[in-house]
Amino acid sequence: MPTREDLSQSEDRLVLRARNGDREAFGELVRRHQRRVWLVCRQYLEPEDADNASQDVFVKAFTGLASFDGRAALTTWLTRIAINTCLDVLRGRRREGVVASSSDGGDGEDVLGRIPDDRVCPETRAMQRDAVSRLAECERALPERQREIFRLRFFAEMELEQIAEALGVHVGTVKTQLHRAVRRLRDELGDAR
Amino acid sequence: MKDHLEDVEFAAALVGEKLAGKVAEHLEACVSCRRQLAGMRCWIEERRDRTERDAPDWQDQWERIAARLDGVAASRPHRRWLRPAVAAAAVVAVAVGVGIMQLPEGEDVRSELAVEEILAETDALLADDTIPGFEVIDPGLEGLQDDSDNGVS
Repeated sequence: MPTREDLSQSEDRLVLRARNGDREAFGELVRRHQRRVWLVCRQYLEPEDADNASQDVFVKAFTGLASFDGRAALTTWLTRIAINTCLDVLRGRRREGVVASSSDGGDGEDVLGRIPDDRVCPETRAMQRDAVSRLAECERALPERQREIFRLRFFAEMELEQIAEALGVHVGTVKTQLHRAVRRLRDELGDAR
Repeated sequence: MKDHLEDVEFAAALVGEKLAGKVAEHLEACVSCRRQLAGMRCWIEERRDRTERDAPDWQDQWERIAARLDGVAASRPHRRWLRPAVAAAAVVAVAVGVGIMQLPEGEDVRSELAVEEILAETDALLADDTIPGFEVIDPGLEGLQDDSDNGVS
């Protein structure tokens, strides 16, 4: 099984080949990163828009590969492009007066309706029924930066350091914002605090 | 027993990180913390599952990306040295020109090109982004913007 270093080296070679216009090499890079890029875009946009934005990200990446100097990981570089692309879309909509949706696709009641019955015991499920609907609402009401970081961490499955690099902030800032978000959501759940 | 989980510990538990002994012990014993964690995990996992269900077909997405790449070229590393080099050459050319014009009369060397002409040519050269090495950084981006404006994806 290839190590992380092997993958990184092979990725460097793919980048070099793609930079010289090798479509096959770029296709391999896309395949490796498209899920992550889409997941990031999805945290900002609705599914269809996230798909379009993901395509934009890779076209931008292809045309801008020369500016990728390898100091950050390719995935971080792509994530940064993805976030900027999504923010551009949202800014454009604000200018056009289009109200941005919550982009989470539903409220807590819908969420609960889809939780399989066998996942939790009935007591927990009863507690969750109420709590989860409050959680979804509370998450939407988080300050923008907290919500962004919370979503990138838990829904886009990014590491703290990756988030910091992608957003251009110190990792301590990411932790602080994330923990504030967690605190608010825990408060919403009650009990332990 | 340890107090309830700190937010940093709670966040670590949410992503399944290995917890320190006392934290794990507390979680084992505290119904309240466990319920909070279960509720939050459940919500997060469900959101992730739902997000995955919305995901596009990856091969199809790549084919759409590939179709858009037909009109653009990958950018090559820029010859960053070229612009300063041309500018330096221009300065040298001007200096030589000025030096020649200032030679004492009677010398058999005369400038055939006015300083202003040399400077104008240099300016024109520097302003022309189409000469080799002077490409715009991301030639595809301008087209991309146009595409998105036109609703092309």
